[in-house]
Amino acid sequence: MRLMTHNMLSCNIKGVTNGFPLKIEAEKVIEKEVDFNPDFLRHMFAKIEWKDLVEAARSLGYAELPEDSPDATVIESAADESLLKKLHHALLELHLEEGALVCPETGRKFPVNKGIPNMLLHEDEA
Amino acid sequence: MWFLCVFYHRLLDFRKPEVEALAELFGEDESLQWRLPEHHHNDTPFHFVHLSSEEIAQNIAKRSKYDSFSPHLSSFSLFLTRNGASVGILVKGMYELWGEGTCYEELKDSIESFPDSRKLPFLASDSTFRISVETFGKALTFDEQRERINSLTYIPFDVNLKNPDHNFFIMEMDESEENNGLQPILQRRIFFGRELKSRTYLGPTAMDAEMAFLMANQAKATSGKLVYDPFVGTGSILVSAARFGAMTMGADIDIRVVRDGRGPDCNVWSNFKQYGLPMPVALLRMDNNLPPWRSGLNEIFDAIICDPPYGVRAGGRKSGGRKILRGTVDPYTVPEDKRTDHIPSTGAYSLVECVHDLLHLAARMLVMKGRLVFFFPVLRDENGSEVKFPEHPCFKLVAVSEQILSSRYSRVLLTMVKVEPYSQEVEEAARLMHLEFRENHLKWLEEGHIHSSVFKPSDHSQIRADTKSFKDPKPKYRGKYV
Repeated sequence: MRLMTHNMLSCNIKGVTNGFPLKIEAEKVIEKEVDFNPDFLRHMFAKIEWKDLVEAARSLGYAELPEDSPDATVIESAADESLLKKLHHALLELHLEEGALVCPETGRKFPVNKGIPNMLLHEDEA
Repeated sequence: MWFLCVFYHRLLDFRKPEVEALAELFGEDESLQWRLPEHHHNDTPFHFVHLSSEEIAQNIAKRSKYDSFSPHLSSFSLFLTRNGASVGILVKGMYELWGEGTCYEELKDSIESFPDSRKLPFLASDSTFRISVETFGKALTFDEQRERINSLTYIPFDVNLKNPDHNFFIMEMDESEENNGLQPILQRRIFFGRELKSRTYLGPTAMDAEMAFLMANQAKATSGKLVYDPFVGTGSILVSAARFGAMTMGADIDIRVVRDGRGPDCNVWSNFKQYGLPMPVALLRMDNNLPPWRSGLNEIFDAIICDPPYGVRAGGRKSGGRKILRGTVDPYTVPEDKRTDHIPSTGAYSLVECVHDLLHLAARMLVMKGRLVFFFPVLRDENGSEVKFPEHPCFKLVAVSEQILSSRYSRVLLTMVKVEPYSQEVEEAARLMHLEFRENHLKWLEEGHIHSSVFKPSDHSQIRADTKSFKDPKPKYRGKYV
């Protein structure tokens, strides 16, 4: 599971209002190289919650992202790609293979196995 | 500019929408138009299409040699292009028409009146040609072909048969056979045109792979885009989108299909690995009826492409278990020690509900002008009464292509474009549309009815009685529906 995915998910148990962001319990983390695609990254940048991405990256051992969300103009400009490359690494190259995502409100754990998070709810949670 | 577009004679309903979607992808503005050759019926493989540039026509028709053949998932290997560009699957060729006629004298007049300014760039002394003869519905001997090529002496070509700069074709056809008493689709006609692509043989096609590519083309999947399949299964749709350069994401309620497939070398991951494609950005196990997206997330997917479960083979499911959904049993609590490996039970998920969830998801998560492409089952109605498709205020239906599956049952590929942003007001209007649709279609769309329609043994007395009055509006070619 990549951090791009993690940035999109929240706990959806009935009644939960604060299900995002899910805390990461990492058992196995690997890095997988992905082709750098600036257009795609720019499109994603507009959609992600920056602070939560930074936090999630830290929990997987990557602390290179700046705390504060960069200005959109910095991302858009074609000149300096170093920030985009860091975003690329955090968003797409870090993988949680085994572990769990934990709901901040209820503590419910959503398991992650072979890189696939299981977000299905139990019968009494729907 | 008008071009002659020659289609493969298959999946007739899918041909033009695919070209239209690709034209839009390659930058066509509003000037796309279609025209039929004189006396040809709409089912003909020959159509004239108006496009604003030759470049667009070329891109639609472009092919290159296919990658090395793999015995396992060979169906996909036949469609791979070297640079991952989108190609028209049903387009056999695109040609700049230099002349046409019902006989060779007419053809000669027509070619001679084709402007010299358009001809000369290709008749320059340093460029070479090959002229080939293609016939439809008949066969010519080698001598007969040569005779026709030689008759074109009035065009000063410089011939090179092995590696020509340009390929020209004489396409000759006679009146096609009658079809169930309907008008023949072709009349005697000869076309002469310059081919807009390099010739490559693709070989026999596999339906599944072909359809996945058609769907990806309908969705305008291309580099830089994010494509999502909420019923990913074995991932064939995502593979085709990835082949066209898109980033992909998939979800499914059935973890076993997603994670394990049919074994370690035959699952979603191996499909991608085999062809050196970028793996999906994400695969998730989730229920589309209870999606886990955070509330602020919207307009993130460029396209959603899927084949939702109809309840015939796959059987749609959602969380809750049959008895719970019916209300006969209260939701139960799984004991703490059994929770970790508990696989939640799932119950029947009607098609209508499933489509509603899909439209809701798409309305919220697609970017503006993003495309939703999905299959929808229809009963083939002998009365010819109009089929109503699901609607949503955010979407405009731009293409409907029917694929006949049996005498009773078809599926249509619907292409919808998001034209309105999602909002609470829109959601309310959508809910009313959904209720109305459900009212009218519940009776025969419920899984049970589709199931019984597909598997009902045919009644012999019925067939005899109906033969005289039954008019099949879809003609068969060589005994098959196309």
